Amino acid sequence: MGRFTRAQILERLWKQIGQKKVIIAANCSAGITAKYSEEMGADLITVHSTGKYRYLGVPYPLPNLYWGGANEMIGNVFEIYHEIDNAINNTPIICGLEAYDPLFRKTDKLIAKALEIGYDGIQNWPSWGFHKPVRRLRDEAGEGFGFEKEIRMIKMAHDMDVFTMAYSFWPDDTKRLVEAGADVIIAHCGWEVGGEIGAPESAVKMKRDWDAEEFAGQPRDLENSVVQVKRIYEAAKEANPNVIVLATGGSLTTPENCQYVADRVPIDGFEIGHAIECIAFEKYLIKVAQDFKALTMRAHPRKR
Amino acid sequence: MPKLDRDKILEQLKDPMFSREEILEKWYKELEEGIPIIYTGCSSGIVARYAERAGIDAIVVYETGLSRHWGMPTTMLRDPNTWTFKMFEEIKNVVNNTPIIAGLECYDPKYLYEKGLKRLLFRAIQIGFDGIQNFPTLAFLPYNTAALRDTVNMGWKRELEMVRLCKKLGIFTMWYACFPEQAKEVVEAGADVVVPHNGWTHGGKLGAPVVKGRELGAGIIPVGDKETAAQRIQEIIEAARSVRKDVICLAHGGPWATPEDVQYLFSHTDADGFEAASAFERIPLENAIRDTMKKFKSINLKRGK
Repeated sequence: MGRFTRAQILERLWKQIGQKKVIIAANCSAGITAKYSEEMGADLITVHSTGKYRYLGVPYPLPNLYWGGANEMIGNVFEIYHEIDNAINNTPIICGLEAYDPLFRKTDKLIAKALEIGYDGIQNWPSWGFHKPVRRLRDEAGEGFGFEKEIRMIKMAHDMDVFTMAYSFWPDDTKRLVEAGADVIIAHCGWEVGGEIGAPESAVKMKRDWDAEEFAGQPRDLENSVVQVKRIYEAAKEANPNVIVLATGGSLTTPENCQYVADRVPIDGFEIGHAIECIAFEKYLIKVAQDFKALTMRAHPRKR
Repeated sequence: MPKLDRDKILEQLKDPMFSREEILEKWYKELEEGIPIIYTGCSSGIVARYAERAGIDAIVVYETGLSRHWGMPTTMLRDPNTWTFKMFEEIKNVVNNTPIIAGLECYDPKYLYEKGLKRLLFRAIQIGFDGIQNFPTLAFLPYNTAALRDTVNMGWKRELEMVRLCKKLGIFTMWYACFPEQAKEVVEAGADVVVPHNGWTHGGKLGAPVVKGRELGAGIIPVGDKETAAQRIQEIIEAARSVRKDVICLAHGGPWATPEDVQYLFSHTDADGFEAASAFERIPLENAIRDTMKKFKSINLKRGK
């Protein structure tokens, strides 16, 4: 069982809000990230089955989420819990659960498994929220492995008094997630931008009428990220003025960009993952390697 | 209908392997231009990707690196070869043109006798590694312990046998040595590169404790200060070169944790380069995470409650 109750986690978050401090959820795919994120004041640690892709050093576009069975994939959220928990002392660890996993038709068992392992709360990740036409199909067909199942999972967890954070790509979804009892709404700005394994420029600049296509997972530039955060924020606060709103994805991958968004939308904080494990790692590793290669040696140049 | 020849197809799908000549020619050329040889321990794809991007000369894969990513001090794990073999695909996936060296525990009890030595090398080459390094190594242990283990052919001599086997097959080798005597043996056995080792790396948030001198006579104990460490490295280099004048000698461990530290090493020894492991995949990550998280936590919110 987890170490934190829902009430304890909310108390921690409201304490930050009371002190006018930003809430940062660190999405971690390795113990080292969790360890130093906690040391520097991360309020929550979140864990996703997709996080390992960052650590593999490969791009991880949103279409990766078209799978099912993420909960049990290699390096999954159940397996990695121990590595994360082992590295930290006293921070709630939140589990991204794939509600539409065909291996877990019974959502109560899925939630119970996460809690049994030790997680302190849940999120709906991976999520089908970003693509309405496909998720409608999935909701209506067969076993109903679509977004409706994610909403039901949030409600079920809330009814069990489990802390819940819900990703939302659309204002109408936001309202329903808040009504289902989500403690935190995370406005998702789509595929992460920035760094070598982030969304490429060509994807960010792709011109399509995304809203008309009912697709919301596209990588957004900074201005469009602000628009997305704003519309989700407003929908969430309209549904419940006391719900905590964070933002993630899109261009919210550097402290500067997040500051830019915070100056324009009065949200409570951010969830970051790509910002550390992709962008910061890239910058620091390349710099240190180049510094090593640029050193001079007393013994050289020399002929063989 | 004619049948397909499975072996012929597999032959065409094989990855080419770096020869020792190819690696050494490139390295000697860099040294003639005055560029240090820098190779790094990489235990995750993301680290390997940027190592190659920044022009690192070789990537070495061994199990202790995993503990760094777990947020733990560099730690020896049980059954090292099994862990190391499993790590290959993740590294190869993001590396295109850099030799990938396997750290092999030559005295692995699962690969006994001469046939075991061959089987171990067979596995590493079959998986796709381009060269071999002796890690974990008994160079770390006091001589008496390694010599005791030699009586059952699971000691330091076994690592030298591995060098000889690789040399015979044309496989590139980089060999750790903690003492001058070891370096001589390593070069005599035919190693292409000698890596003088100063013991467990200190520096960063989870480095080794600093120890003065080398009281216990074991190679893993980190040498405390840069001056003594550089002296040790220089002694090992001179021993290696007394056997073969042009053998490439790199350095690793102990107080060498940042580019500034390594500049001291290069100015005070005849080292041809450096192996960065904690110096590459632990300390820069610690800094990256801490610096970035600090910036995020100092974001000012508009929200006024």
